[in-house]
Amino acid sequence: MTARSMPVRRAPRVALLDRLLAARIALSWELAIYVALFAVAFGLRFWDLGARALHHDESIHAQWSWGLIQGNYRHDPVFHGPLYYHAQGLVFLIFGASDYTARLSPAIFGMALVSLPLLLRRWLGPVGSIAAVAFLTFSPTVVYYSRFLREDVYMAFFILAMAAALWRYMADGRERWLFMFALSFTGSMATKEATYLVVAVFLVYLDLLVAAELTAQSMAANEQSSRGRRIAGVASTAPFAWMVVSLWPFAGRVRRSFTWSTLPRSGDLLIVLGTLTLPLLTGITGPVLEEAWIVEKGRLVCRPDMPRQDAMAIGGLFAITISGAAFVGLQWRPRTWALIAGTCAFIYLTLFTSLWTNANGLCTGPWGGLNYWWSQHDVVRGDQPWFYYYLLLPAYEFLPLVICLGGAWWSLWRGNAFSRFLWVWLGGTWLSLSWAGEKMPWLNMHLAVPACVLAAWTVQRAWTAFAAGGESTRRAALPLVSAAVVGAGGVVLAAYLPGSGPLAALARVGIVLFAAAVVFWSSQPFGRRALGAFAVVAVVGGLSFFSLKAMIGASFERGDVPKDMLIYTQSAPDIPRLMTQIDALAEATGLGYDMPILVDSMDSFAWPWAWYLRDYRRVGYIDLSQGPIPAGDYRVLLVNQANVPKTDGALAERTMGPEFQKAVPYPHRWWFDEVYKAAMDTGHGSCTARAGDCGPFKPGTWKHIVSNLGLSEWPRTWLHYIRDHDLGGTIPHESVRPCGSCGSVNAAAYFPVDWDLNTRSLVLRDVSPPKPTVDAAGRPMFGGFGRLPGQFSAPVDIERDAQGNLYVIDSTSKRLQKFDANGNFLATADIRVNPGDANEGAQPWGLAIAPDGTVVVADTFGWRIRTFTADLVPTGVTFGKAPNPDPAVKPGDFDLYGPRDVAFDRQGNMWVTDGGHDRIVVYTVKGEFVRAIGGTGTGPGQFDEPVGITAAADGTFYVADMFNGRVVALNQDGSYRSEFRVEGWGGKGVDDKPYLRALRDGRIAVGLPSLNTVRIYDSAGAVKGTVSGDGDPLTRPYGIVETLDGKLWIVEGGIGRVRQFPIP
Amino acid sequence: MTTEPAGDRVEERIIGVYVEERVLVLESDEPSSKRGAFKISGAVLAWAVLGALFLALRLGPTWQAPVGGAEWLHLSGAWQARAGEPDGRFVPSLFQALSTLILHISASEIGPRIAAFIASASIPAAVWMLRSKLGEAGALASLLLVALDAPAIAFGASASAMGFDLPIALWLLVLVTRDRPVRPWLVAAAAFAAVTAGPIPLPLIAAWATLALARGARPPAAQWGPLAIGAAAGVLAASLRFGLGFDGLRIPAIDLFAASFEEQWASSSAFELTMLYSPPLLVAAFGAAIGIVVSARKGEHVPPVAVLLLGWFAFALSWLLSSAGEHTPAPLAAVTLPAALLAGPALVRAFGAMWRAEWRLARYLVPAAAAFLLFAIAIIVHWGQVDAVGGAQDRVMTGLLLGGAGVAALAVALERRAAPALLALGLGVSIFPVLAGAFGVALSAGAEPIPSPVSPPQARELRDLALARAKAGGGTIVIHPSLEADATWPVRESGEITVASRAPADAAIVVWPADLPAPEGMVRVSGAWSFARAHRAPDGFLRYVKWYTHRNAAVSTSVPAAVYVGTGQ
Repeated sequence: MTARSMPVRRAPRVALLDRLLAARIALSWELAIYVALFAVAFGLRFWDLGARALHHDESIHAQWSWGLIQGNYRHDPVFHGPLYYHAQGLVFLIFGASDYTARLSPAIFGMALVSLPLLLRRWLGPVGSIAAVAFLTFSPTVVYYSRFLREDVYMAFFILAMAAALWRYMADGRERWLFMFALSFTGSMATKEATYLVVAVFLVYLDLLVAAELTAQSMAANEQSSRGRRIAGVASTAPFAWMVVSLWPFAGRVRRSFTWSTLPRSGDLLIVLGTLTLPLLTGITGPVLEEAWIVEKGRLVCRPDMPRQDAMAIGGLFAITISGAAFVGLQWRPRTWALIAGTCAFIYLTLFTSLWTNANGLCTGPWGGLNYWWSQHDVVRGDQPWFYYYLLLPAYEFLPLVICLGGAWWSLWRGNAFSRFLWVWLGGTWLSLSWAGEKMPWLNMHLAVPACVLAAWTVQRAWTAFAAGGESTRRAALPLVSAAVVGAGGVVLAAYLPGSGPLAALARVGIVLFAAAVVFWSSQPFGRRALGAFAVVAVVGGLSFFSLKAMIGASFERGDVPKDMLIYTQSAPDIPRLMTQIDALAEATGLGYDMPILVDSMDSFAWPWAWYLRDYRRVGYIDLSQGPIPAGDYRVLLVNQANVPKTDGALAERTMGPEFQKAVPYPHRWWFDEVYKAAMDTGHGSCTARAGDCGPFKPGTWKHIVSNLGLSEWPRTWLHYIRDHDLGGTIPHESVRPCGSCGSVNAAAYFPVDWDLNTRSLVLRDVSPPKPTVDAAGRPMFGGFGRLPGQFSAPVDIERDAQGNLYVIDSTSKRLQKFDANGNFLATADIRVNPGDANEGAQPWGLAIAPDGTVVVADTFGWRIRTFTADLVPTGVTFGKAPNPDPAVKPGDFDLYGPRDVAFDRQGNMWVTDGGHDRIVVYTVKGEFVRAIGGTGTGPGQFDEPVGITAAADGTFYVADMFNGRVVALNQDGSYRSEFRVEGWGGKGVDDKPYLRALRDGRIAVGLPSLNTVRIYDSAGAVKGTVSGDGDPLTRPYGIVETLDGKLWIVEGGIGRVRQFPIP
Repeated sequence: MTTEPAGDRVEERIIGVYVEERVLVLESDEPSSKRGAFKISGAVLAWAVLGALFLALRLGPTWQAPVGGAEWLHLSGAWQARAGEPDGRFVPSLFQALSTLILHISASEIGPRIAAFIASASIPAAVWMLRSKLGEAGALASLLLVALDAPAIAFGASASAMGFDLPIALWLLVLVTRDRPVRPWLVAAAAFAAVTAGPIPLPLIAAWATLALARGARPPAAQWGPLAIGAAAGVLAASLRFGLGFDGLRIPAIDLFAASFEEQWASSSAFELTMLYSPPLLVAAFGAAIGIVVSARKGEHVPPVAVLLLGWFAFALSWLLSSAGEHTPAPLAAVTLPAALLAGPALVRAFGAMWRAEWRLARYLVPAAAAFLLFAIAIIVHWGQVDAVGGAQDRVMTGLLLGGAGVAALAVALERRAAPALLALGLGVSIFPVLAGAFGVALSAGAEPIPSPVSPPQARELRDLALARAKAGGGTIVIHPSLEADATWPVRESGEITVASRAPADAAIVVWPADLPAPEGMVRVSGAWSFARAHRAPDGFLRYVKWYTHRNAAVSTSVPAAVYVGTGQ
C-alpha cells in the first residue's frame, strides 16, 4: 500500500454507505476460488442442520441456551460454557427454536473458522491460504462438529483467532492484534476448560520464542552466529525467559549483562497471555490445598449459600493471583494492560454471571471451571486408552496428516518460526489431550485445525519450491491435475480392487507403486524441485475421495447412527421420528402444546426429550423405577425399557384417562463399537484408561503392537475403516447381526389406541359402551378388550342375579360392571374404597350375589370382602385384613390371605375361599364371622389353594382345590362329602386360577384356564362334555354362570370378553 | 487520480477518503493488468443480497403457513365462488378472481399464495426504480425495512383478497413519481389495478389526490381518458364478479376497507399487532417525518416524493389509529410500507451522521448505556418468565440500571456533535425485535399472532375421518350452522355436506358445537376437536417479554367442537 497526499479542491462529503455501494470489486481467480470455497463451506455447514437427532449433550446445550434467553440459565462448569449458550441463545431469540436453529451458532462459528486463515495469508501464502480454507472446509472432523452444538467449534475458532492475532502482532506490533489476541483468549476460556491445555502450549511456545529472540539479541550484540550456540542459548534462557519478561523494568542489570536491549513482541504476547491466565489458574489451588490437608475435600465449592469463611478464602486466593498479574501487567504497559484486562474481565464475568443476574457465576467461572475439571481428570470419562487420538486423528484427518508428515522436513528443519509454531501447536495439543483423563471424539477438532493449517503451509512450501523453478502456472496446470487424477485413480483402484489374500494385497501395493511412479515420471520435466508439488497433489488427489466420503458419511448420511468414531453415544434417529408422531398427535387432538406427556427420567432418559418437548407445557419427568406410574391424563408415555413391564401392568389397571396401544420399542442412545480396546488386550483385558495395563511406557504394549502389525488383521481392519468408516458389524435394532462392544439403551413409546402410527392420524372411536355382538362362530358375546364402559382389561368372575342381569369383575381395572341378560352395559363401579386411587392395594378375583341381591366382591390382593347394592353402590360393608406375615401364627377370623371366590348358602351366609390359608371362611352378609372350614393338606376336608367355590341347588358346595388337582364337595355344615380329580389342574401359575359352577341339572362346569377349556362333570366326577370354543377357541376361561334359559356365559380373561355357549 | 462527484451520485473512480481539503489516497491506481478484469459494484451486490433476503423471507409463509386471518375468509369465499355458491366472503378483487381461477386447477392454498408471492417479488424491482428518488443507499435501506417487516411478510405471501395490494401500492408510487410522462395504457392499467385491489393502496391514492388538489397539479388531460376507462373497467369487472355474476356496483377497495372495520381478520387488535411487530419501524418513520417537517419549516427544499410519502404515511396512520381496536392487520401493513420508504433514506442520513459524530465520549457512554440496558433486560426477562415483578432489591437494581442507561444516553445527547452516536444504541435495541418478528412470521412460528385465527391441521384431519366414516357406513356428514364458516375451507372437496341445526336420521357423522346437547340417537367420539384456533397477543408487558423470548408461549385458544356418530355405525 502506498500513501501519499496531494492538494485538491474541497470535494463534497460522500456518505460511507454511498462509498461502499460505489466500491468496485475486481474478480480475480483467487477471489473466485475463495467465493467458491466459502459457498461450499456454507452449504456443508448450513444444509439440513436439523436432520440428525440431537445428541444427549447437544440437547442439554440447546435447552440451556433456550433457557438463557428466558432467564433460566445459570453457569455450571459440568456443562462448560457459558459463551456458546449466549451465542446460541441469541440465535434462538432471532430465529426461534428448532432442531435446525439449535445448530445454527456452531455452523456460524464453523463458517467463521473457515475464513480465519485469510488473516494468516502473509505466512501461508496465496496457495497455502486457499489450501487452509479448503482443508477446513472439507475436514470431516471440522464439518461434523461445525454442525454439532458442542463447545469445540467455538473454542477452535477462538484458538485459531488467537494464533492469527499472535502472528499479526508479531508482524506489525499494532495493539489491535493484542486486543484480538486477548479477546480470543477470553472467548475460548468462556467456552471450554480445555483451553487451559492449548494455552499451556501457546505459553510454552511464546516462552521459547522469547528465549530465542533474546538469544538472538545477545548474539547480535556479540556478533555471534553459531547455530549450536543459538540452540544452547535458547535452551538455557527458556526456563527463565518468562520471568525476565515479567520483571523486565526491574531486570536492568540482568538485561545489561546479557545485552538484551528491547523486549521482543513475543514478550508482549507472553505478558498478556500469562497475566490473563494467572488469575484463572486460582482454581487449581483448591485441589492442592485439599491434597495438603489444609481444607477438607469438596469444601471450597461454589454455591449460592457458601459460608462466608469459604468465600473469603477463595477471594483471598484470587487476590493473590490477580495482584500478581496486575503487578506484571501494569509495570509493562499500564494503560494497554488495564484496558485489555478490564475489557476481558468484564466480558468474561458478564458471561459467567448471565449478564450479572447470577452472582454465583463470579465463583463458578474463574474458580469452578478449573476446579471441577481438574477433579474430573481422575474420573477418566469415556475410559479411552492413551492412544485414542492416535487412532482418531488418522481415521479422519489422514489427508492433512499425511501432508504434514510428508512435509515435516520442510516445516520443522527447514521451516520458519511460523511452521514450527504450527508443529508445537499440533504436537503440544496432541500430547496434552492424550494426557488428559477425558478423551472424547469432539476434542479431535483441536488437532484437526492445526493439522489443516500446517498441511496448508506445506502445500504452499511445495508450490513455492515448484514456482521457484520458473515454470509458468499455465504449463504446469495439466501435469499437476494429471498427477492428482493418477493419485486418485491409483488409491481408489487399490482400495476397491476385489479379492483378498496375499496376491490381492500385492496387486494393491503394485497399483499404488505404479501410480507413484507415474507421478514421479510426470514431474521429471519440471526438475527435482517440482517433485514436492507433484507429491502433494497426488496425495491430495488420492486421499480426497476417502476424506470426502468420511465427511459426507458422518455429517450427512448417518450422523446419528454410531458407525463412526466421531459419533459418540448418540441419540437414535427414532427420537425425532417419534417427535414427529407426538407433534402430529398434539395437532390432531387439538391439545397442541397442552398435551400431557410422561417421560421416564431413569438413566437420564429425560434427555434429549427435555429439548424436543420444550414447548409442551404439561410434561412430567419422573423416574418410574422409583415409584408407581403416576395418575394423569397423559397422551404419550416415553418409558425406559426397564420400566416397560411395570408400565404395562399399571396401564392395564387404569380405569381413567386414555387407553394406549402396544408400546413401540426404540433405541434411545447408542454407541460406537470400540473394538480397539479389545484389540489392544496385552493379556490383561481390554485396554482402557482404567484397565488393561497397556500404557505407552510398558514394553508389553509395544511388543503387542509390533506383533500385530505387518500383514495381520490390524492393518486390514484399519485400511478397511479408512475406506468405509464401517466396521461391518451392525448395531442393535438395525439388524440381528451382533457387533463387539456396541450397544444401546432402549425405551418404549406409548401412544393412544385411537392414533394410527402409520398414517399419523386419529381413528374415530365411539366412547359409548359396545353393544353385544357375536364371535367368529356366531355365538353371543359382549365386552372386548379396552377401557370403555362395557369393556374389560382382565375379567375373571361372573355372576347372575334373579332377574338375569350379569355382573363381571375385572381384576386389573378393578371394575365391577353390570349388564343385562343379553350383555348390554348397564353400570360400572370401581371396587376400591377410594375409587381411582392407584396406591390403594386391590385386585378383585371373585364375585357372588347374595339372596337379597347384594353383590359381594372378593378383593383377593386387597385382602378383603366388599359388598355393593344391585346398582353397584357400595353398601359400606368391608371386612378382612392383610394376613400376618408370620406363617407360624394362626390366621385370625378376618385374616384373608387372598379371598378368591364367594358363594352363598341357604342361610344367606357367604363362603369365602381363603386361598393362602387353605381354608374356607364363612361370614354373614354383614361381615360377621361364622366359622372357618378346612386347613392345609391333601386329605379329606383339607385344601391346598382353594379357588373357585359354588353352591349347588341341593346345598352342596363344590370347591376348586387347585394345587391338589381336585374338586371337593362339602356338606352345608362344611363337612367333607366327596371329591373328584380334574386333569389339567395343579398348575401354580399366578393366572391359572380355576372357577366352577354348579348347574341346575346337578352337573358342575369346571374351568381349566391353562388348557383353555371348560369341562362339564357329573357329581361323581365323570366328564360329561367339553367347551373349547370351536371355530373361535376359548382364551383363559375363568368365571362361569348359567343363564335362566340354560346356557353358559364364560369369562375369557385372556381376551377380555364374555361368551355364551350351549351346555353340552 | 481525481474525483468527479456528479450531483449526489458517486462515480466509481472514487476510492479515497475525504479529510477536509486533502485526499488521503489509500491505494495507487489499479495495476494495468487488472483493468480488464470483471468488476462488480457494491450496489449490485447489495441489491442482489437484499432481493434474495426479501424473497427468502416470503418463501416460508407461502409453503407452510397455516391458512388464517383474512386469508382464511377470502379463500373460503373464493372456494365457494369456484363452486358457484353465493358467499359474502367473496369480495371481487382482482386477486380473489385469480384465486378462484387457480382453485379450479388445485384446491390447495399454495396456488393463490404463489400468485401473491410472485406479485410481491416485484417489490424489490419497484424499490429499485425508486432509487433515483430515495437515493441508492436510501432505497436499499427501504428495501431492507420492507423485507424485514413482519406484516409485509405476512401479506406478501397471503392469499387474502388483498394479495396484490402491497405491490400495487408500490407500483402506483413508482408511477405517480415518475419524471417522464406515463403511457396511456399504463394509466389505464394502474387505474384498473387500484380499483380492483384491496384497501392498502387507498392511503396512497388519497395522499396523491390531496396533494394534487392542494398544488392544483392535475394530471394532463390526455391521461383523464385512460384513467376513467381503467377505473370504469375495474368497477365493471368487480361488479360482474369477474364473470361470476352481477353483484351490484362494487369497488373492492372500498368494500374491503369497510370490512376491515367489521370482520375479524386477526385474533388481536391492530393496536396490539402494531405493538408486537412495528414500534421500531414506526419510531424511525416518525423521526423521518419530523425531519421532513422541520426541514420544510426551515425553508429547505423538500423533494416532492418525500412530501407524498409523508402524506401517504399520514393517511395510513389515520386508518391505523381509527381501527386500532379492530381485529385486522391490514391498516398496519398499509402504514408500514410508507413508513419503510420514509425511514430508509432517513436512516441512511442518520447513519452518516452517526459515522461522523464525535465519538470521543460516546465510545464509552454508548456501550455503557447498552450494557446497562442489557443487564436490566436480563432481569426483566426473568420477571417475564415468572410473570411477576421481582422483589425490592431487583426493582431497585433494574431502576438503577435503566437510570444509568438513561443518564449515559442523556450525556451523549447533550453533546450536540456526539448525539448522532445514539443511533447506534437505537439500532442495537431495535434490531432484535425486528429480526425476531420477521423470522417469527417468515418461519411460521407455532403460535404467532399473524396469521390468526387459523384453520388447524386438525380440521382437515376431521374432514378426512368424516369422509372415511361416511364412505364406510353410508349416510351424510352434518355440520352445525355455527361451524359452517370455519369449516368451509377445511372441508372443501368433500362432496355433499349437510349444514343443519338438527341431525337428520341418516347422518353418519355430526360435527356439533361442544356446548350443545348431543343430537338424539348419536354417540360422541373421543377427541378434542376444533375448526379454529386463535393465537392471541400477550396481554401485558411481562407477558410480552415472555412471548418475545419464547414465541410459542402465546396463549392459544380453540373453539371446541364435538363429533358424534350414529349408534348404528
